[in-house]
Amino acid sequence: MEEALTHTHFALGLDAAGRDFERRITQIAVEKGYQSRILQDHEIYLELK
Amino acid sequence: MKLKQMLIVICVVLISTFGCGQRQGDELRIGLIGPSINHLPLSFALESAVEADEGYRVTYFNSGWEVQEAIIAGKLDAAIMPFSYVHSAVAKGYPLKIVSFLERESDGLVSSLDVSSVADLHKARIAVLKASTVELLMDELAHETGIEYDAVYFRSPNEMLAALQSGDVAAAVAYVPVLQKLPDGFQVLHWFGDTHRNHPCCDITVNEKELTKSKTDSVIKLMARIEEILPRITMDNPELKHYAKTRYGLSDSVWKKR
Repeated sequence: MEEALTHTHFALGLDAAGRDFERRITQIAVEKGYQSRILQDHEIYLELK
Repeated sequence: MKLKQMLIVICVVLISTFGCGQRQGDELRIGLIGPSINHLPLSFALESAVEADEGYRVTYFNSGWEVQEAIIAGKLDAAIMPFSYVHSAVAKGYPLKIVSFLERESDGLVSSLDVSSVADLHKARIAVLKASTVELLMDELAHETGIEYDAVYFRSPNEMLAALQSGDVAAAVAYVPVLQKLPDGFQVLHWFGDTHRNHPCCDITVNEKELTKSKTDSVIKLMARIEEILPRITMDNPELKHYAKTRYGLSDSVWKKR
């Protein structure tokens, strides 16, 4: 249980580092043919107000 | 005059009957992948919201694929799901949007104890979920460590775990709820969080087409509730301990295992 919480973090937001990570990993999906293209931020992220 | 008075009375009755409280059509339908540890803060938040009758309905699924299918089909308004499934759906033209990251890290490469490093897995069969975040992370790790591997695809994490235990695969890439079920003789060889600190894993995702103004407000309110609860997700919180024991059936010994 402690290990589960040690290796799982919870944080809200759409921070730039998170977006960069998702974009980098998604690039692999594109290279493997799972996805046709990398999305622009406005296509995938939405900040609710 | 009497007719006008009657109409007013009828209107008042209708408004009090249907205008107050949450109408069923305004209920926020949320999808989660199993009652897992990953969703601890969300489950906390949702349960208190549901108890307060704030108009949330939660449906549990066995895999990310199932959640993706349900939210694309408009059967869900929101879901917590691996980001790779959201990106691929949006690239195909489906009206999904990520409104917040939530669960970070939690994914790891597991193997039997006789494997001492990732390099030992060169040319090995490794279980992954096809086109998932875990497969993509494994690809990156293989590239960085200079190994090649034979990807063996499964539809659910539990199937991967069974294949690992039976020796059908040498390793598997999974995440915390599955990793917790590992029996003796297996280890987490590599945590992806060690190389990618705080990386998003599962995000709060919405179906834009299903999101009315009322439902949008519900999502915002829910995220505010999660934000309040996050500081309470600690091992020494008795409330969390009680919740984990009742919700996940964890014994005192499992909780205390350190």
